[in-house]
Amino acid sequence: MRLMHCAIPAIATGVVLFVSQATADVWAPPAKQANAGDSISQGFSANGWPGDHTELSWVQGSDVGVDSVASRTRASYADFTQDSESVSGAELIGGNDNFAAQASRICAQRPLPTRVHVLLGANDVCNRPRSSSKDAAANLYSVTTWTNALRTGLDQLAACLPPRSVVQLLSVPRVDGIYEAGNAKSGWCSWGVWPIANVCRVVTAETSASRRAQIGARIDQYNDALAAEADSYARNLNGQNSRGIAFVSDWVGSTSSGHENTSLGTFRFGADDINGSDCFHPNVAGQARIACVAWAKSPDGAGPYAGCFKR
Amino acid sequence: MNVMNHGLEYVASCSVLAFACLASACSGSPTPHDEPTTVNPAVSPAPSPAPVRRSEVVNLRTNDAFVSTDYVASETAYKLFGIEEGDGQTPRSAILAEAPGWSTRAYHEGDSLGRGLHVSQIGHDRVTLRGPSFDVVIESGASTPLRLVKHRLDVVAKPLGKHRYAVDTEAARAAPSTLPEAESAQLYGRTLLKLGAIEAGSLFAEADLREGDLLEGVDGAPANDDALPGLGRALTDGRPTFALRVYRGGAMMNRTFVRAK
Repeated sequence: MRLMHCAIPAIATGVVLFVSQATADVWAPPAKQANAGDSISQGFSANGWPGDHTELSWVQGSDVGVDSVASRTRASYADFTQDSESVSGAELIGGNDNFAAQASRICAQRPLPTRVHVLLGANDVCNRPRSSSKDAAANLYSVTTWTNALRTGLDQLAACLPPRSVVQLLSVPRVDGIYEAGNAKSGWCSWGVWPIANVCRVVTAETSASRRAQIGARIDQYNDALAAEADSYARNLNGQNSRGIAFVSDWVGSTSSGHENTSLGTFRFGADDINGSDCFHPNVAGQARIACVAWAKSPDGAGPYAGCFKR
Repeated sequence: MNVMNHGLEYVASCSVLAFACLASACSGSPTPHDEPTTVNPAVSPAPSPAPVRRSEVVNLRTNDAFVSTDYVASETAYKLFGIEEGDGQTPRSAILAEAPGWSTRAYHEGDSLGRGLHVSQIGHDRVTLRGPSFDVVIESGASTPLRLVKHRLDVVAKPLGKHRYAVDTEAARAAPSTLPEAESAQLYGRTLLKLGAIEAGSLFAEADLREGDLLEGVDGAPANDDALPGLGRALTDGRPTFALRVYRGGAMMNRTFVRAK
């Protein structure tokens, strides 16, 4: 159960053999995968056509250009199956398809999965109204609300998944960084599609870079909480994980603390990583990067991740 | 309905858009999924065997006398995810999730939970719900069992998850059908309706539509002047199923509505 703590320093120093062998010995076979997520996990607009394109999803896709987590798992486990619960528009906290709801649907699956990947949170930021106060993040959910919603989903997974399953929590991408990538991509983004389609107006309508950074700083706090919860469940510090389920997170710290391009949450998206129709969702290249880091930071694929972010 | 044209020229001239408009995903109707038409028991609170008494109902449905059989009670639990202080312009809110489906929404002071409870006070780390003769305090992160009373016509479109909704035709017919303001917008080569403010409790609010949503017509019909009345008809005429494509926050949601009964 200490794998998560061993894995990160091991990967950082390039010593990955130990981790891979330990994984094979410890965790339940990856017979079935489920995922909780939003439009990113649905491959939304990844090819520039508006709509879900699950074949291009980092987690459930089949496209060779993405080389999804599902494809990579299937390559080493022929009987692998998957049953996705992600849905475009989902938040981690709010609405009818939030993490707790998706976790309950995962727990209702038969057979139960032994691998669960979670990527939620961008909509929790993007769907909030812009703040009129000095603090641009004032209308964003508090970290307390975030953490309680996260726990509500994790408690269910800890209680229902087969022993020695693996739950991976991917960090939330900085939407202020995606705004920069969209601006670099095309003028169409900022004066065309973003205002008409209401794309993440909490940052795309914000003219002050320092205020956009306040939004990003809150996302860093969400990711700090995400990693802390993964650690708490992994080591059963909260008493919720008596059956030895692995909870891992890709997050090792924020860009401001020197960890740029070490996780999805610190990846600096570029214009080449997002699609040209809504200028916000990852394109095929962006989906491939997410798949790469998710795999590298999972016990199944544990390995170096720096190449996932290389340009 | 206030229909205006927005940005047609610059949208139409965009090469990215032209590319997108050739896509099959951009044309044709959203297709209803082949999904069950019954409510998934996993997302429904357990019905309460005890009949609803008049004393439990704080908010009678407008113009109704109390008829016990018009009200239903369920045993459920609410969890307080947290309190949101907001920016000073928006009032403090309590983020409450209802088990077992975990639908979550922000409640303000005065908001009702069903017919027998309302939010009486939102503190920094707790919310107080007031019933006919009792208060319930839920602290942040805690879950509390509640007996929730609703009128049988209170729920128009029950969320089933993954953008599927079960429509109660009778409840839809009883809901105020005030049309929201809307204006025409061009996106991805399609004409869409951008919704203005939506009256709380109206048919369109009950169908989970929000200000700023961009809509196509029902079953892929054009988003013209008849689109919103057409949606109203689809919700109330008892058809077995229909589809509605909604763009929200940059993502597209293909919703399927099925008749509940």
